[in-house]
Amino acid sequence: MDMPDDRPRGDGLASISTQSAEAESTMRLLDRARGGDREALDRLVSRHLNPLKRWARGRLPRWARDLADTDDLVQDTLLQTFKRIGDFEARGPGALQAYLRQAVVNRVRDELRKKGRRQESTDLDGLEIDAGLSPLEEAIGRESVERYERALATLKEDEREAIVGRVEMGYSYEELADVLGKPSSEAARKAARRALVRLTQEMDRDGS
Amino acid sequence: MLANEQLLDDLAGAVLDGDAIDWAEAESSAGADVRLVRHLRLVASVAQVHREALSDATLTSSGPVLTHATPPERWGHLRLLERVGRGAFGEVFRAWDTRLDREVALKLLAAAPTASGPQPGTIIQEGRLLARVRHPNVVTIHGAEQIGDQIGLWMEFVRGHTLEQLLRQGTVFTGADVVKIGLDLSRAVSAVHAAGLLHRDIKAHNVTRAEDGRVVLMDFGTGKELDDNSSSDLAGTPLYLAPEVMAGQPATVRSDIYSLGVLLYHLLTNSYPVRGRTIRDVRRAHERNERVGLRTSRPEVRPALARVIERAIDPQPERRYANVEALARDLAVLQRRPGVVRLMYGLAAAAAIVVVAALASDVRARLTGDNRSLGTRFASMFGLAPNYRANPLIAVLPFRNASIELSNSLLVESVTDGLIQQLAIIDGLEVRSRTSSFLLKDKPRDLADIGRRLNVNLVIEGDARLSGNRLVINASLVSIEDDRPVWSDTVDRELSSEGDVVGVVEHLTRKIVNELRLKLGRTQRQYKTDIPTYEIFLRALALRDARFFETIKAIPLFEEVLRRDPSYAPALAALALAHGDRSRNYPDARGTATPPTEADTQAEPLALKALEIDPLLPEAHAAIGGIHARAGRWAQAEESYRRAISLQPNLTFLYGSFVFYALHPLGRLDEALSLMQDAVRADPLSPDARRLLGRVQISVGHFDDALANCTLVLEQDPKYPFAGEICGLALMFKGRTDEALAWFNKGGRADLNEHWIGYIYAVTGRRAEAEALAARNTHLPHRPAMIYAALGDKDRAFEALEALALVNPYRAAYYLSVRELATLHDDPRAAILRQKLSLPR
Repeated sequence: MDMPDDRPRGDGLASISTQSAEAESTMRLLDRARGGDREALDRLVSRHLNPLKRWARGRLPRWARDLADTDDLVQDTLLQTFKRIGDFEARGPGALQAYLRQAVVNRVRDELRKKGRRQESTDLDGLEIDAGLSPLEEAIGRESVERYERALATLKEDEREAIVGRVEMGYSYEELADVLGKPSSEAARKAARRALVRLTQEMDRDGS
Repeated sequence: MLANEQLLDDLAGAVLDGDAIDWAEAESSAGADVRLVRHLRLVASVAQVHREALSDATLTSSGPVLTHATPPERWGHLRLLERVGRGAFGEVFRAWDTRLDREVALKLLAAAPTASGPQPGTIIQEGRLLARVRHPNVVTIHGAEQIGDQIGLWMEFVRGHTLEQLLRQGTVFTGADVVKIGLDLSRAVSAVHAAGLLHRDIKAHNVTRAEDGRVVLMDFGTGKELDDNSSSDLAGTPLYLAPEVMAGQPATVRSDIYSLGVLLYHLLTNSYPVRGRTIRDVRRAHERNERVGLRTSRPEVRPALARVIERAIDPQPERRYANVEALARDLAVLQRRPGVVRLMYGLAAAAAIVVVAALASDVRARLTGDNRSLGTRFASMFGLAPNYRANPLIAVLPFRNASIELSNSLLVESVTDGLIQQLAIIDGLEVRSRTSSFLLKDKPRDLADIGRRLNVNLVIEGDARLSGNRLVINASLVSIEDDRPVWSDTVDRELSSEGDVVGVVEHLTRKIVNELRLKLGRTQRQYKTDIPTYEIFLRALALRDARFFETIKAIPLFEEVLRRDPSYAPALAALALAHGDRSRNYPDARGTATPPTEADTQAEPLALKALEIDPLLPEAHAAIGGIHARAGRWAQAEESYRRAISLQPNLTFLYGSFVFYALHPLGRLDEALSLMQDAVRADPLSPDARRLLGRVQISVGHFDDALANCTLVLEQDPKYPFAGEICGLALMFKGRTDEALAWFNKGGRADLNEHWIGYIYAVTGRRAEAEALAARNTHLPHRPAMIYAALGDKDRAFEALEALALVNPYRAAYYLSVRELATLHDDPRAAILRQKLSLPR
């Protein structure tokens, strides 16, 4: 009964079978939000909240996640980020997604600083947080995560965002098409697939 | 290397899609690229960690996203747009899901428990259980949550009307509508049951027919888990309630079946099997077993459909269907086969279609000597239990490489691929994708597991072997249910050169799939031709089917279709048939017919090509039948026609061809009569079938019937060609020769009818005029044959028939069997001529 489809597993709610005619692109919503449209702001936050939560939960060390309710933190970060969205300049497909992750990282770092935690610096997607392992590191080991990270870093931004968006943030292909500026979910799927094959080749080169 | 690229690409897709992957297997088949597979596996782990990070209830239970106060027009993350309904326990709104940017329906209920209403905790719990059910005919529940003093259940928004609304608007549901709705709902309820739940409130209010025609089971307010036998509160409308539930017993699968049966009864009758104005009335009616039979309420309902519904609503639970799937199977049997039936009889009433199906089954049985009951034959015709018959879902397991050389694995893979592609052309067959099949490669064969994982009830498995230049494929079709081979076959072919492989694989897989089509009883294949081409084809068919004698006008249209799509087998076959039919009356008065040898030079390659592309195309077999008949190969002709008709018993136009190309010239007039009667019963509005029936009725001496039929045809279409001639013939044999002459001379058609005019002259003593007509028609030998026979001049009659046999043997055979030449039948020369024409004695 469990047929393969393009839904992220584990939560039925994130499934979107067809993008509604009323579903505006993120870029359009951004424009409207810049103009002070409150509803557009709500929708932007709603749309990106779960993917960012999903990403943050995998990436933040456990003690960091205990420190504050990560979900609230992510939600608040998103809201503040979008409110100041005038500063943001989209430099290409996937740029917004990366920007939002960076904003969450910055926010976590701020929180850590406030709490006066000592930090053990690692190079994790530009993050300088840590002390203790993230669930991801616990699951696959720090070395593997690093290898994955290094390979990701060699990819072009849109390739990287296709992989991170799908694998770590759990965007549906429709949503991925939206954030990557692809014409269709199928195009997003193909792009992600190509990028992933590229990534494995890079990982291989790294190891040899 | 190529194979590995494909492997990596498939795996990458599976990782991104979140599919389960057998990594050990993937690594072992990756060869040198095993490291790349391991990297992919690592990425799959990354994905899994993140998935699990957010797989708990947080997504559903996180409160409103907004930082400002929730305005009254919102509920959580849902923006309320309009109220669309109000029920006993709450209200239903159309709403906008701001998280996922989609339209949803929100059902809001007061959280304060009421004495009769469902309890808040239960609703949320049940909502989450119901969210497990994913089926196109079941409304998709997105989530359930309590906020403040309200409980919300939000779900897919379905635009349409409930069946109850449709009934109130005066919609009359036909038997066919109800079978279709019943089938959709059975599948829906089956999905609910499969999730371990009961619906417990199936009724016309709770089923919506969406604007796109989809039937959706809604409203689960009282759904309960299947094994929850403890409570027996009286959920559901009393009129739909099974008697045992009314009596206080817990709801079961069978009580859901009962309600579904009542719903179907209700759609057909706008009433209920057990009636009453109050619960007490209904209870008493149950106790006294006061029930109104379905056919008492609506007598024209087919008995077969009535039986299915009555079984579903049997007061004794143990006498009902044991599960919804069994009900679905019986309904599937009643559903007419889609496809060509609709195409050919699109204009006829639905009732006529039912007749077509029943009759076709009957005819086929007679043709094949099948003595089973009509019901059983129906079952085999439409596919009955086991399950795969009703709804075949098929997966092709990767074929094993049985070659000694392992390097042929690519070839073997292309066999798997080819089969999947070829299977896709079978109408109504669901085939699992290549990726799904691929993931099973070299896994231990666990059929039950495969069936579950791919949701299939059939698999094709086998091996392929290349020995020398010979490719041999063994294939079996296996039923998952009992791991029993349903069919198997071995095909082989020589490879002539390297580049030939693709063609050979295609040829062999097509052969396998075509055999399968027969086995599965699904002989309709799909063609991918473009719409304008298809429209031209339909126009040509309409021309041909409306007026048999105008087939000739359809020829350029069929040719145009083939210019656009040279491999469109139905057009190839239709054109072959048309060429054959064009020669039937050769030589004719107006010179439009072509000599049979010339016609068959054109028809034969077309028919053979059609058969090669689609060996199960009935028209192609009929075309071959005609070619055999014109060459005097009567036994083969008969065989081809029977095959054509058994492939598609409802193509009644084939009956006429069979009758006039085989049965009539063979002198088997009783069979001919009965077949044409079937054709007319199946297709009462076809003037051609009726006209041909009239012709056979003349041959067997039923002149009054023939007269009645030709009159009917002319009432429909006063200018219908050759219908007047049937009237003329009937009158002629009834001795009303003046009236007959009037018909033959009517509308400037005398030149077409000089044989019959001469015949009447001969039998009415106008001998000189008859002789003159015969003399001036030597170039059309059937005319002198008929006139001399009427004059009693058998020598010259046979002389003319011999001449006819030289240019059109088939036609000579046909004339030897018509009533006009009855006086010649017992003459020894007739026997000699029959022998020359290879006709049986």
